[in-house]
Amino acid sequence: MEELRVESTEKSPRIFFDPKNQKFELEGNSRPEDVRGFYCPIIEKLKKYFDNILENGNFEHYQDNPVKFIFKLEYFNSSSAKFLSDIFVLIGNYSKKGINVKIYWYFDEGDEDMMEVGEDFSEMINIPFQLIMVSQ
Amino acid sequence: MEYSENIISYKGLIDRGIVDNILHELKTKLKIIDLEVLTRKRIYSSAVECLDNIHRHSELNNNQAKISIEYPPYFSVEKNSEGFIIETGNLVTNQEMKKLKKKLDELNELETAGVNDLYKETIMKSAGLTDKGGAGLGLIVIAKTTPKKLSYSFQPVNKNYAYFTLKVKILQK
Repeated sequence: MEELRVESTEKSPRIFFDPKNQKFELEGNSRPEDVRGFYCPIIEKLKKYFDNILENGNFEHYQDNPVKFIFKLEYFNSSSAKFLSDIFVLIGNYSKKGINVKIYWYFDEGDEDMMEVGEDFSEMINIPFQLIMVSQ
Repeated sequence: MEYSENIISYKGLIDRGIVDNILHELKTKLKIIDLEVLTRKRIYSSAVECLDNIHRHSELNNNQAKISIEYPPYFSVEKNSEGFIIETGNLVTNQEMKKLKKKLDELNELETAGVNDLYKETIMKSAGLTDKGGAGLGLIVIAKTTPKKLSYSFQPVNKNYAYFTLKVKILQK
């Protein structure tokens, strides 16, 4: 599967999905005008990626090498929250099917709200997140 | 006398470009003021949802050109001794007024923990739905930014419309 790179703008986050290195990164601000148009292709790509792993059935490899999800969000609006939630549900569902994942949630020092949202998503899909505070 | 300083103020029709310009200006001005991360982000977050709400009604405002001139959308951010006040105003249909009133009253009955729980619950429910993103979550996000009640009013305009104003007080830590 080919990698996916989307550069950030003032309104949309940078996306870097590197299937070869089993790494997905989402970073920046998220309040895209066409939020559905922005997130749906990304969700589709992730779904295909996970389905491929399931088809190949090589789960053992992922036990030692989890698929890494790195979220470094500075801000996201309520419309984006729904799609982030979709991404987490997707990750959660495939994790239940046996694919090992590791989720890193970055937040700025002092931004308790962003930390709490990370905790909420973690609780929602029942996967512990690695919460990482970034000093200003 | 109560100290108050205008940070940003806009009155007039609102389109996507104007929303972006207001938010860009707000972000720049908030960076200049010496603020903690949390307060700065809460003001910005609340402002985005308020402006998105106004923008969602912009078609209505634009179509009702005559009333819109008399009752244009409004958005402002002010700083006072306690923190910041975001104020918005826009036309809504009577039907929307009922929905908004119900939602705002429900939110105002909740304490901070209750608002946070409702946010979590709404986010969970929204996952997987094909429903338009953000439905119902915007006002909860606004309520999450303040421990104060959301003050609002509806001024009757004619038999179909009312002018909705919302005031969000964000405390400075």
